[in-house]
Amino acid sequence: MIYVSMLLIFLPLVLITAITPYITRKTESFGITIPSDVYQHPTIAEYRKKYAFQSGLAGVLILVILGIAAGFTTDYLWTILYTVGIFVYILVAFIIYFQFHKRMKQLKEKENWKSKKKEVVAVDLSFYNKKLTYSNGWFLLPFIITVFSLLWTFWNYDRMPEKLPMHYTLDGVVTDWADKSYRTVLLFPFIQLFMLGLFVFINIIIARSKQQMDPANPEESIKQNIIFRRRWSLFIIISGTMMVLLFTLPQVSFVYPIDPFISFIITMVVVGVIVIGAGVLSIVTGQGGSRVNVTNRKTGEIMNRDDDRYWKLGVFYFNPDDPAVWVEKRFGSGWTNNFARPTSWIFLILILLIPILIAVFAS
Amino acid sequence: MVIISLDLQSESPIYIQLRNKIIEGIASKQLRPGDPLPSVRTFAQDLGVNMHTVNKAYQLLKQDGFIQIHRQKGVVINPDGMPSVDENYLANVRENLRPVISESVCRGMNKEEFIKLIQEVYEEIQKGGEHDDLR
Repeated sequence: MIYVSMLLIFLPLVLITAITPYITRKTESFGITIPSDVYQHPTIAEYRKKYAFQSGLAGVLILVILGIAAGFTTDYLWTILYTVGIFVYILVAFIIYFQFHKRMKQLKEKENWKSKKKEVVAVDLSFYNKKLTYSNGWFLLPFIITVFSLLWTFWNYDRMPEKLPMHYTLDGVVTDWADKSYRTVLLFPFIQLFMLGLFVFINIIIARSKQQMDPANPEESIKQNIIFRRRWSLFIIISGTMMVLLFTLPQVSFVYPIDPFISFIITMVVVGVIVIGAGVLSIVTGQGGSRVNVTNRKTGEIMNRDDDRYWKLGVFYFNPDDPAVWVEKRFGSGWTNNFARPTSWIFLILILLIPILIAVFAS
Repeated sequence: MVIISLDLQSESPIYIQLRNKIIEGIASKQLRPGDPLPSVRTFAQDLGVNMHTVNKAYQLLKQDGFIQIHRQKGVVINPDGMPSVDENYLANVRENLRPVISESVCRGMNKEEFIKLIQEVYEEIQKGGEHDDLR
């Protein structure tokens, strides 16, 4: 069982990390702005290959170590080890990335791309009038599920046992029990409500985040970006609904006990589908839609704006002049914040604080 | 699709470029009276520039009567028509043309060539529509 969850979460993580340089926009490489027509430059192609190999190898090594450790430790200890392993991997992968980031910077200076190209920023005035995401109305379904879950909890309160299982190991063994009270039984419906809010929020961000196009290929890159946003919006709606549905499971099991093994399998399938779905979507669509096929890619005398100086370590955007709060990641899939905006911090703190508050309320 | 592009290495400030591009958009009929423009915030976000920069461009356009800024409706291309060619404007054009013509003369361009150039640029702007060409 442990191995299944390991393969389901860790392997896709390693895979998506290793191929990251292949799914970024053509206007950047390892967090450095480049003209889109040098993306195929042999040295950059070699960097991509090396990074993929090195980070992939690091991932496999950690995976093997974890696999061996699984034979020697208790489940509880191993869960901690596994979590630590994931963080160690993320750190190692970042260090590997950073080496190539520095090399990319040197290469850019050496090749002097900037002096050969004109730096341009371009904006489509009617961008936000286009259909960029699917309607938030689709969240009506998970909303109904959440309301049902709440009502169901009140209707069945008397039928729930005095001791409620609150925490399972990966194998479905209950390790934590809680005394029944309205607060404890409301934990899962509240988590559902929080997740629902979070997913609606992400869908709004996808619609409103900064418009980013390649001025060397304006029409194509806009088309790609619209496809990118729509697909992720659809993914958020589907995976959000699945997650909300998944959290009705423990709630139902309070009254009609479900075989822990079966609920473990269901959980793993849902998580697996979401993780693998995100991976496939990243690969097929590419960051900003960069892997969506469009015709007539042009080369020219212009390049996208060089805002490297605002990207700390190539991955953290910090630009006090830019009112944008949400921007596309440079090295990776999805979106990140402009950390120079206080709004960013408020949202980040809220996203961390609300689950903690829910947990405190329920305990 | 109206695409506005700015040259970030140009010596002319961004707000002036922005003002000029919007006026060119109107001249080429890509932007028509009543058409909405992005809010200051959205425009600044997409261009990645300070909101003051966009605001400055909008204030210039508003002063000259190219756009209207409403509290609720937002920013629109002036639906009541464009500013007219008055004495002030003519004087302005003369003043702006002088150094350009002078330099062309110095470089050996004759009158016909200069007038031909003006005609070409005039037609280019009127035709507009070359969205892809952001140079």
